[in-house]
Amino acid sequence: MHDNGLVDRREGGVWRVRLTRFDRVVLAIIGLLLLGLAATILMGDRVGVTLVRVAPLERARSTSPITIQFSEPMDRESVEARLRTEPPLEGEFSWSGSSVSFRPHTPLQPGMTYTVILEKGARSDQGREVLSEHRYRFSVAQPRVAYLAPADGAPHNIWLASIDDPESAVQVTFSPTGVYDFGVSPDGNRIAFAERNAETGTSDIKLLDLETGGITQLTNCQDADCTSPVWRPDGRVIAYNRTEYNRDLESVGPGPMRVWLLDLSSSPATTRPLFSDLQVLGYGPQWSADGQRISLYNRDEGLLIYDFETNEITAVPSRSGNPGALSPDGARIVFPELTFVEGQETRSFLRMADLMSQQLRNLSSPDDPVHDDRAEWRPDGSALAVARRYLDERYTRGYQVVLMNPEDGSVEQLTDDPRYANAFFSWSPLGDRLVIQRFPELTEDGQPNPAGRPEIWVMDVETRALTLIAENAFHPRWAP
Amino acid sequence: MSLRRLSYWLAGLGLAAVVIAAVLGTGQDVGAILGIFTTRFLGIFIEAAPFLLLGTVVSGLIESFVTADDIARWMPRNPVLATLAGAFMGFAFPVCECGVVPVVRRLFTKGLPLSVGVTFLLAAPVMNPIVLASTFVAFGAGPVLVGRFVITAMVAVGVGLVFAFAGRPQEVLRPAALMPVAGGSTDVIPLYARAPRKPLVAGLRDALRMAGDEYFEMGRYLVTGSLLAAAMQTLVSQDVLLALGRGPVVSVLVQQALAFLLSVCSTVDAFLALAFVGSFTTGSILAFLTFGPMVDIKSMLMFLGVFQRRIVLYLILLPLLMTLLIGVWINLNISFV
Repeated sequence: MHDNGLVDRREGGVWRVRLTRFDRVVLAIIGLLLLGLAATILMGDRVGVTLVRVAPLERARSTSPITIQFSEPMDRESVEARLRTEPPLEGEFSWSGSSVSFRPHTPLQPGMTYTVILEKGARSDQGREVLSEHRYRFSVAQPRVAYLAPADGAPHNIWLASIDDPESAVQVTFSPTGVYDFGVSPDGNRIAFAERNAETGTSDIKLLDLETGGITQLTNCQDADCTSPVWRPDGRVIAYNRTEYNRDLESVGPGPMRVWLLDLSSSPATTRPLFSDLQVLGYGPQWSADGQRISLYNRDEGLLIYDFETNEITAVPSRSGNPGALSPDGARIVFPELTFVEGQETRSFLRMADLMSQQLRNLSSPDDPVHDDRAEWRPDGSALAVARRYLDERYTRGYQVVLMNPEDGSVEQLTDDPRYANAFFSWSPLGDRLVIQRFPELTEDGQPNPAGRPEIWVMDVETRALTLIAENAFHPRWAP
Repeated sequence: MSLRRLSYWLAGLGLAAVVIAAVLGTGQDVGAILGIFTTRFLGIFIEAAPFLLLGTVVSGLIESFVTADDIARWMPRNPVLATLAGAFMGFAFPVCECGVVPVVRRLFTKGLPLSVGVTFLLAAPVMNPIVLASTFVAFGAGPVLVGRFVITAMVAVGVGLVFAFAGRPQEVLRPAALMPVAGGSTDVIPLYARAPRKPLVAGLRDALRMAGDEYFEMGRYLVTGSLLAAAMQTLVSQDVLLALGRGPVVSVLVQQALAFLLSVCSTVDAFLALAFVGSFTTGSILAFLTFGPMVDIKSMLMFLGVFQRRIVLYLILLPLLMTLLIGVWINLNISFV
């Protein structure tokens, strides 16, 4: 330095430093600041790692994951060892940045109160600790039912009803052009729905946030019909059906249906075909519980099951056109198959393909006097709800619902009311209830019912008790 | 060749060797690195040049229309109050860290007290309405907005007070920034010229002429600073810096280093800092938002046009240590949840 002060000056071969009063003051202050810094560090960490966000708080859905966001990236093992619930739950941890999510293996019990406890001592990657025990509680709400209404008019919009108080149902979409169909997110907080575009005649997938009421358009299907959103169980990806109209190509009609994916983990959401080979067609996607497999129906090959981990496609021949029911573990698929017997009504019976052993077996026999159609796996994989119509003395015009054992095909009757046709049904997350779309085909005195409108009912599978949720409504789905 | 000149040459050669080694060490194509360097240099320079222009225009206007008497009249007599006032002068002269340097230098020549000028120099890049608005847009009315302004005021006033009680202009400023003195003596006897205020048109013409001269004079510091900042950004991986650590102490140091290297203008740095939320401590983000506007590579070079070299070193070290201390203290003692 060669300024007035702090001068390095060589005098007689020796470098010397001359300090002015100002230099000495500044150096003293620098020394004090360093001392202050050392003292601050020595006094230790009085804050530690903090919890930026915890969820759910106070109220939860039966499928809600328990999520904690920390103030910094954490040592995963130290957190997982200190995070527990009362009553205890078995489940799996997953991490995203500084957030941990715990997904119980079984859905949370509605009406139950859970306490989440994070013991002190969980460490961050940098060695900071959670300095005190954190506890928070939440209670689990009863699942709700979402449906479209009115069935006999337009536009169709989505309604939400509590199964305890169906009278207090609320309309959650107000589309002037109508909602075609929809899917409720696994955590019950969002609904993806297909809405008609009055100008183009196409449909787009939109996302409704049930907490805020905000709607986000996810697709831009200007020349395509994008419908039937199906959520991957982790809530990050949606599969949907897409049909290109090809209006810009002369003498080319609408293309066949394909399955596309919407990735919600990117912002904005991105979409792409499920298969990069656009010759692989299909519709009716269904996810396995772990999201590793997806099934769809292909007119040429039957059922296709794609494994995201191995990139392998397994084909199961089927002529019914029904996408079938993929088991929660993704290892089996049940589907109806048609049989033609000369001089008799065409029948369908259920078959089950074991994707591990590549074995096919019949769950009901083509010789049985039954007509089996839709099947739906109970969430724990222990049973199937099946739409069955008997063709013998137990004959009914419409389908009834039976509970089928997937091991031996034995059944228990769940509904037995010849006045009603049971068209669609779905298991509640806990597997203790079924929501059923029923159509009153006959009046109480057994006459055809021209004034009938579809109705939504919920059945307690244990007691077989049925509760009417909505009249003149259709397309019911559970909203956990 | 004198020993000093020889040492400069050796230092220059050493630096060139380090740069070449660093370029080769990246394993990337030299042409690609040069392209990145050029883009970054232009990015920094083009962002800062308009603010420097604004600052030199303000400086010219001060030279034409503000007299030493005005300064003497406006400034509080109490040095502490005057220093405090310096922290809020940014609301009267809303300039960022590039523009503030010529303004301060001009104000010094008009007799602005040293402590007030230093406080203004450090505080104005943050304590002005533009940065207030951009920080509000990025972070909302929360602890970051409040913390940024409070910490900046504390550090700027703190450093200003050091200069108020211990600094003498002739020990601190370069001659070009000193107030004219009677007879050219270095024993300062300020020359309060009682020149009449210039007519408007003549004053504006003079202001623009001086702004042009000063723009090119200060511009060389800006160009050199931008070159250095671009070189550092190109050769020092930000990913490496970010991966270095996120603890309560290291995170503050890392963010200070980032702020110094990136040399982002204070009007937009809040949006950059937003990207660190969630992965860096609040104390370190506040250090980024307070230390960066006070001192970065390009402003450090520009300080050399106003202050003596060792003073520039102090103007780096004092804010560095103060923001470090405050950032670490916040991390270890305040919970924002």
